[in-house]
Amino acid sequence: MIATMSFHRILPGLLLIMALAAPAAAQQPTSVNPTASSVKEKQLLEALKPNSGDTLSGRVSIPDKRAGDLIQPGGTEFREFHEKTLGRIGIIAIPGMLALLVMFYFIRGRVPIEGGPSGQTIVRFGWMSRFVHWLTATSFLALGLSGLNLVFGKSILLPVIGASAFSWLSQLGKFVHNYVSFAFALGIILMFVMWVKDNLPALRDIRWIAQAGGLLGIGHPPADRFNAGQKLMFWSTIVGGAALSVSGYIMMFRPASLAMSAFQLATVVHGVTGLVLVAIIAAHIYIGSVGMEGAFAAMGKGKVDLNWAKSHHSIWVDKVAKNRPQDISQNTAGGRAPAPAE
Amino acid sequence: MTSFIAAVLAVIGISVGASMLLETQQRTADAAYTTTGARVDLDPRLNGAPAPKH
Amino acid sequence: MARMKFLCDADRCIECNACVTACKNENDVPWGINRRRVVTINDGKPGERSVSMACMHCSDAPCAAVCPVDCFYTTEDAVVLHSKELCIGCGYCFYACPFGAPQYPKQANFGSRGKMDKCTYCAGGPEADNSKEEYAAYGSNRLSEGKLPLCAEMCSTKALLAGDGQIIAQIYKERVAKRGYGSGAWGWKTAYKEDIAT
Repeated sequence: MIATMSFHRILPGLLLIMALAAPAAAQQPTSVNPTASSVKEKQLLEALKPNSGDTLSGRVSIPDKRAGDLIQPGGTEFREFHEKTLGRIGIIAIPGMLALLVMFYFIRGRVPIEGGPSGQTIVRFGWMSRFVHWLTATSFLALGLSGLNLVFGKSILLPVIGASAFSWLSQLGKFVHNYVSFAFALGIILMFVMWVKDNLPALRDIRWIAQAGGLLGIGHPPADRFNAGQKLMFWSTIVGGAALSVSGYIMMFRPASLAMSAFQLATVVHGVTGLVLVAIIAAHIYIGSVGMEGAFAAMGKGKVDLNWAKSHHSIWVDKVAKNRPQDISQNTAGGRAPAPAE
Repeated sequence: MTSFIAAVLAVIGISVGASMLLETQQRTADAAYTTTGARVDLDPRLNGAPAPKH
Repeated sequence: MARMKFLCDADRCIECNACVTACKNENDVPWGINRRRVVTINDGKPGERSVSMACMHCSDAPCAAVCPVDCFYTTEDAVVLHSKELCIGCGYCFYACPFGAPQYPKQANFGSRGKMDKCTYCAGGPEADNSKEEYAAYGSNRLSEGKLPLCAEMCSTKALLAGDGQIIAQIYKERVAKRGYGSGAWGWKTAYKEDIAT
């Protein structure tokens, strides 16, 4: 009798464990008083933790089965991330990078072409390469701006332009973000296919990185078609772009097979990768425009000055001279005599 | 320059194309989350009432 | 001012789903959207309980915190409402909400899911009280007429309570004291950072 008494006392807890352990609980006692076993939310939430499930769910009689998710504690962490962590990462990454670039400009100035422009050009990127570059670049710009608006617009733009104008702008931004993403994803795939063979790591990349690509003025390390810096740029774009695309499409299409935490994780990955990639691309834009003399021509006209190519891509120039000499233009009037290759 | 203009046009083209394609796949909540067993009208927004005139 | 809350006594809820139906009818909620739903846990097992759940109108609401366009606002009665005019349908509130309250009128891709819809505590939206526009977008505004949400008002077992937090907590406490058991106020810890000792 005493034994049964104490059994009854622990019964609610036992039942809870058995109910959660599901099919294993075959031999349930028949004398159960259901009104006495109150199911506490706290207990259920604690029992949830070790399990893979991230929502406390039950059965609903309506067709939307997601409505069966009673409580999802992960929402609190998502909020914490979104409110605090994401903003902090953004404030460090983007203004930080801009400050770095401005500082760099004042210290190093515009990196000139070694030996000055030769007047001779060498074909660097074909039409298709430039098309794919600008496809990815313009779509990234649209995605980056609309994405930043979603993270920082509330605190920066909203107080300035007012709620309804900001809502209109953000609505437009959301549509742009969703649909332009397809052009960006296509650009990432095409870029990967086009340039991966020239971006595989090589031993000479170590030397290039050790000498900081000649920026510090201790001689210019040799490089093939792409130097180590450009390879890093390539791989950040590919890896970052892939992460952004995958996490973005998870958020956009919200496949029913994924748990709530998967969507929350996708937003975390998307936010962090997006901010970091915006910072990296800011550096890329700087070095490709004001930061370095002669660099923009590669993606502008597709032809670069021979002296620029010789200092940054000496091995590549030699290869082109040997295999496709027609890609190097003859000396034009007005240009200086080409400096001898180092 | 031609490559840049072509790229901008391609971005716009792909985006508009994607938006139109996705719009055909879009389902309203009444189509996605309702049963058909107890319906008076196949269009749940009408439910037997005459269709509103536009 | 009253601090409006919902409290579902899971030991009384009989899963009749009348609150769901009442809500849909009173607010003319579109098909496929359920501002309130009844979830049954431990279904068919000992300790089975049903809980009627909707937006809990949290203090320091997570949805409002993550909204990128700040479309949420809290009324004097501490009811969390949002403006469908401002909402851009981004879905962040859906990720942040612990109770799965935010829903969208379209389901396949998020590009055009439309404006978020959720329980308004029968308090309408930012438009003029009981105006045609307010009813079309948010449903009826019972609170402005001094009435409580219909779901709780017509609950046959009085499992679902709505009203000032202190009063409904007191009612629940008395119930628990009288009958000797209670599974607690569902979602209160998460929504209001407080619990009712049972």
